Amino acid sequence: MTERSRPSPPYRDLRDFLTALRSERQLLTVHDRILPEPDLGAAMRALGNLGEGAPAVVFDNVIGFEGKPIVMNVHGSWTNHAIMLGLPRHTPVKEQFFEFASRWVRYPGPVEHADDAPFKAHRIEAGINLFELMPLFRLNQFDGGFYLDKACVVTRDPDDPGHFGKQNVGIYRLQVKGRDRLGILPVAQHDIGRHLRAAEARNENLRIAIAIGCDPLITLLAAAPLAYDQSEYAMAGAMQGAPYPVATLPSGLEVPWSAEYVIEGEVLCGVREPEGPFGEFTGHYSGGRALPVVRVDRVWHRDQPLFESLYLGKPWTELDYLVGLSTCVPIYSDLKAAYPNEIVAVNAMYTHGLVTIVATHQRFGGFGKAVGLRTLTTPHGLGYCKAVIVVDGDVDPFNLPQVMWALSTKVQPGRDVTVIPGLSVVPLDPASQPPGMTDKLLIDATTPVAPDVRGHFGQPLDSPQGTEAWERRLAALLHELASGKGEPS
Amino acid sequence: MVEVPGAWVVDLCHRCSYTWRSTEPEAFTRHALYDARFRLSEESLGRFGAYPPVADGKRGR
Repeated sequence: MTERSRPSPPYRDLRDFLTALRSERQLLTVHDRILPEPDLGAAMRALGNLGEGAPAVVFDNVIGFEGKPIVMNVHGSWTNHAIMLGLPRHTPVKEQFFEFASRWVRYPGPVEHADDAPFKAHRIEAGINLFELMPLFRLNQFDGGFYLDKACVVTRDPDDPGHFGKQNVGIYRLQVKGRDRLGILPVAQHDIGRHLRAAEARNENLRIAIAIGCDPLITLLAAAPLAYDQSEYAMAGAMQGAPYPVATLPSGLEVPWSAEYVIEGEVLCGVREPEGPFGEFTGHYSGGRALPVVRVDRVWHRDQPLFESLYLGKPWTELDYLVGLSTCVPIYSDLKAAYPNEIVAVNAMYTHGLVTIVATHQRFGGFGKAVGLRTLTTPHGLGYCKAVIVVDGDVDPFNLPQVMWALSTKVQPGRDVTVIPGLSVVPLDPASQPPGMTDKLLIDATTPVAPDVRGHFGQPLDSPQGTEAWERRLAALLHELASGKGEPS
Repeated sequence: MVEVPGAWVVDLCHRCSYTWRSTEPEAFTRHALYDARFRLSEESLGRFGAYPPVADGKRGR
């Protein structure tokens, strides 16, 4: 755990963050005249293919979208994450994880209501046409339509509407399927699924607000699996160490003050209509299903609003960066609550945690396997964690060569590999059969300890004395070399 | 749904919600040329399961 944890910089809004990215040379503006399809999706897939350190990208000259700029890849690199968290731009992922985790446990933080939100500049209630108001486009070529894929979706618990913490902020895919009509995927395991179930049990519509183009921290937290009664806004206040501003809508829902666009409406009770397919985070299309429908009643937007979207598909994409740390930290804090002295770190960044790696110290033989089983039963594990790999506490779970070393040398398959049949998983997992059901794999790649005495692990190879000091020394020399100050010719 | 004069037109199928833009290749704007793995019919639409399931007696408003 980092000793001197700092708060996240309180970026007022997306524009404020883009200014910070620009000053760090992490913002690229594409002025070329391009078509919405296939250029926007293709450009973002290509950016992901180019590897680490990718900037955010603004497209300001898309044919037919005059005056409607699009920003993508805002969360699409660890460099951008470091800037969002207020850390040096090259901060390693593991350090970002510890920083994130230390801010996470400060929950709850302050929330302030401010009704001067810039999105209130324009209010549209008659003749709504989302296709005119927003620069909508097809992302992957066999998507069944145009989607809002990076919006903060806000709903309240119909059985406890006054409970601020149970008000949920999440990111769910929304297909624009009419001028004032959206399809929505409210996954049953997520909070919005619970809200919709409660509303339909009461034979009521569910009020909904959809905020697009918010400050980067709330978008990050909207993608994080918080406890049901925890408020994403109070978590944002905790993480930035300053009041998090929200604006109240006529429906009573509270949305991020920072939003560029806000859509208000209702999820219609009992209605299901064709939706999809949509290219998903699993690297496969979702197929089509009959999903709930949102009737749009009102749209707000700023002057010259910025439309934010993200690319998703076969990993890695911006979505994997967005969700990566957010899935690691809740599993880590759940495991840490059970085994505070042993759990070291959790890497659940692979396809939202379908593969999860846990690093832990051990108490006695069999402990690694027990930690793996506990991982499966965390709330996030119920829908993910199809494969759990447990490694020793001195293995960095974010360093895959180290994890492969543990798998290569510590595992005796007959003893250390366990398959547990018939567990739950997100239905989007293309291998699940029927959708939502799967077997799960547990690999205990920790070193056997007494009384589980076996193998030949008595002579571990340590680093030579002074290695850590040399790491710091060489890093400084390499920094000089890169900045042109070192290595005289 | 929307037309930007001189740029493109967006259309939408009110049966299956498929949406397309006039500037896309014919493989995405003509049903007969659409990839068979993704092409929908009344029969395939009839197999779309409701998610989440709707409890008995609940009606849309």
